[in-house]
Amino acid sequence: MSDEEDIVLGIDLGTTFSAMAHVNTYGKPEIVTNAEGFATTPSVVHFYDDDACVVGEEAVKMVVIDPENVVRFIKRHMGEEDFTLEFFGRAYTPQEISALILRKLKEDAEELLGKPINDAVITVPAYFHSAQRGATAEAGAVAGLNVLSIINEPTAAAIAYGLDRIGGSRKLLVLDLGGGTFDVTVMRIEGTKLSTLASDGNAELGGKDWDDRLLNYVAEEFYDKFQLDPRDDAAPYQELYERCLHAKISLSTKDRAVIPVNYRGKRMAVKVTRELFEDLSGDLVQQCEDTANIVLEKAKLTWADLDDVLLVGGSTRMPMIRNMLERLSGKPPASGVNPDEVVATGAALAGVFRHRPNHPALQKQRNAIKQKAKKLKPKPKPKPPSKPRGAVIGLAYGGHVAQQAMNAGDDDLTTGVEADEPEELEPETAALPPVTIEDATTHPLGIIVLDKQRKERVVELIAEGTTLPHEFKGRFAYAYENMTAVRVEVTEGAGTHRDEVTVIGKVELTGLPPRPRGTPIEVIYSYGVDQILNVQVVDVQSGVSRQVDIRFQGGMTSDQVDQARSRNRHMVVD
Amino acid sequence: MDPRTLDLAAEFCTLVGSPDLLTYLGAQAGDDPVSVRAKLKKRRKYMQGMQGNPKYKKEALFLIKHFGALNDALGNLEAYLEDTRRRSESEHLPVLEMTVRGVLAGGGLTPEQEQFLRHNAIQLGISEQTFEEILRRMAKEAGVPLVGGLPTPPPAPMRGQATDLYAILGVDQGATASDIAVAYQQRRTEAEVSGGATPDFIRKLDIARKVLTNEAARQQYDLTAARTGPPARAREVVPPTSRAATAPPVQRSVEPAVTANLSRLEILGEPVRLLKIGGAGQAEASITIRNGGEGLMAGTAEADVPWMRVSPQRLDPEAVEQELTIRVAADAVPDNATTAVVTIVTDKGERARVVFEVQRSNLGPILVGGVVAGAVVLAIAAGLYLQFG
Repeated sequence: MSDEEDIVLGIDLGTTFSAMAHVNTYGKPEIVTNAEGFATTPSVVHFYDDDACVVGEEAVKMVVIDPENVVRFIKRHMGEEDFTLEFFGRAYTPQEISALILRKLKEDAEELLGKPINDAVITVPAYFHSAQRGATAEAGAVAGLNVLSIINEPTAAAIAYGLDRIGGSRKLLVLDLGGGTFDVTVMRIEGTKLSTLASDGNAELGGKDWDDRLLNYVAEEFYDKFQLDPRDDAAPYQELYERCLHAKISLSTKDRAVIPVNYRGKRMAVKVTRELFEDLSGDLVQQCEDTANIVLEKAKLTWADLDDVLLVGGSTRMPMIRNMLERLSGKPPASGVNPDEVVATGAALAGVFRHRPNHPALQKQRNAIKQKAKKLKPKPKPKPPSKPRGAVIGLAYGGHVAQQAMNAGDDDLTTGVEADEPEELEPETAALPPVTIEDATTHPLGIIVLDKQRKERVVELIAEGTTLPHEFKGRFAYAYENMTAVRVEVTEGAGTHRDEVTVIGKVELTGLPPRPRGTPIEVIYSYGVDQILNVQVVDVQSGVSRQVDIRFQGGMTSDQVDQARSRNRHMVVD
Repeated sequence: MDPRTLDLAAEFCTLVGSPDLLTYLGAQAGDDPVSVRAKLKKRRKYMQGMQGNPKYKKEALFLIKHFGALNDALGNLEAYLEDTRRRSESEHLPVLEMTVRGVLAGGGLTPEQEQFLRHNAIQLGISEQTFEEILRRMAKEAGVPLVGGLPTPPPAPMRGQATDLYAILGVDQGATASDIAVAYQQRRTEAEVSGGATPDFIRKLDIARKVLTNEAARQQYDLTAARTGPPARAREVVPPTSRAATAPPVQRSVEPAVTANLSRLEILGEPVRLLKIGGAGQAEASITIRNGGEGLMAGTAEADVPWMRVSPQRLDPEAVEQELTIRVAADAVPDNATTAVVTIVTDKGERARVVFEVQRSNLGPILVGGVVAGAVVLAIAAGLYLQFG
């Protein structure tokens, strides 16, 4: 098998749910279902021994029995150095716990696709900072995956959505409200180029916050009646949380829900109407609205300039979010997109566009475009499939159900779909158009320097929202007489003071001959699409230079990653 | 022991609202440190299942992240408890001092005020002995004479000074609103004719007229003037930072010059207060209001922000003294919130405001300063400056 045919698994590693997808030989992205047959896997891990755990739906079930040994929402702690959890006498970092989820996904995909999987593209919220991105990459490494790149969730969603809308010029707002994170991104599709115009968000706002509002309300109602608070005990809390979660979901389609509470022998059914729920969480919706307005402002656009509004993440199913967006944009959100799957699908596509330039489907499309140009046909007519296997590949998202059915290995159903929808069989669209993806920075990058009063300050070199790749070249000078070494400290974050930013890397140039104050030094920051910052420091007079690749670090050294990987390998993951 | 360890232990106790870690764990001062540590470990394990629980989230995350520090703090129980005691005093002393200073600025201390402050001190965990020391020291600073080791009561009210609003207008205490309007016009014309109409004088006249023609304001003025002498002075001296403690209640022994069958809204305590938000679920505070008049007092109380709830929202017209409860769900408070104002309005048009300043328990990671040893290294570390600009 050639490298070009090796699968790149696109993974949406979510706070509450994870999903994965790959692009098949015909260039069609497909969701990869887990061993249980579902498109999404709960990002929940239950440890039942010092070397064994279970990931997914089974782990969720255990939360009411054994809450102390179940981990949820670990994504909220990615990149936190002092956060470890202990199970059966062993400590786990957020990276290691995420790695267990990734391993389950990887193994399930290998089983389903019948091939070993090494390469992956993992998505992160656009607003994740470098430590969080680094930690995500480390989690992949610990799980034995070769993480080709980390890509922003809204970008991935836009790729998947924009794939059959390329060619024109469109502006797109992606609102991604997941289980635990929130971000808004404005993107532009120009021909086959997809670029990020602006992005903002809150890594600590998500569906979980809506659940908590409901939970607090119910617990307080119960308390008012019985002077007992079900939040005070771990297992009853978890049980109530599950009920509130389900009530939240049903409130998206129904006007009212009843949440039964059973705690210490007292029982009560708390009724919640959709109206009440919207009152309880009105300020959260307001936060979403404010962020969306800020992002539009950053992109220098108005709601009227947008061609589409794309909703991503399960929490966007809540009518309050849809209504808010409809009120602002004056149009209904884009339909035909599965908010749970679109990110993983886009990640798989990005994996092919970026890392498999010779994928057969890309070649095929190039030829198709050439032919189309010759014929100057406005719209290609459906043609019968060239191969029966290609039949299952439908147009964009119309084919999702069919793909899943096929993935589940049900051949009869596949044939059935084939017979029912012959008009969707279109080999040309099944091939991939070569899309260029331009991501943008979400945090400014800077350098620590001394000003004329020799006071430290941070100078921004690459602004937030800069399209990648980007290069900055600037000249600085010796602050003191007879300096023999220079240290460049690379910072991330907004602010002018050292305490307001994070130092993400250092480059030192040593052994220079002593020279006077004012001697020039050149600093070059090149930030690539792979989210790796290359910093080069050049002594202008002698030409001596030093380059360092600053990969975003999640806090683990490569030795630690190796150790964690071998530990992970010895862990039983069900 | 690392001072940072003790800082974290103290921060944690503030978060969970416990005086110290032993109380939190249900242990005693004489317990074996090994058993106390085992309890902490058990608690941490339990809290792993509570990370997502909105009521215990902060507690759980703190225990998980700073378990090491808390465990270290329990390594030497004696040193830890001594540190806790010192912290609680040093935390509350400045608050008490400021309150005492504010009261003494009125010129003295009545027995009621003294009793109130003493009660306050005990509630803050300050011994009576320490309290009396503060009282003597502050009295000396304020120039208030001592009798039997305690400051003397304030002097009788002084009329006829520059800040006496009646004297400014040249009317007596029984003047009606129309008397005041006439007097105002006279004083103003006189001043303009004689050339004494400085902006400062006009401002004083305006204030006097405004206060004395507003019934509620006038009652309040009469009362305050009767209690502490020139009110303006007292108000200037009370530092606004004394908000965490409650000031003495408005004294009732002085009979104000009010006609019968009128209610009068009085708020006990400081107009600006601190609302500590942190840790579990709800923060609560209360406002005690009193009807200082004789008539019924109906009215409403409400907060200016949606995340603060006041109950009851309607005042009990017949109650002389009643308590309003202020509730805030920690999760509902927006990150940028700094203050919330509760406004109480009576049907007689009296209006009073209590400002709550939101204070969050600091849970953010504390940066450990990266001090680079030696000047030479420092020069290298920061050896660049901007050439352009």
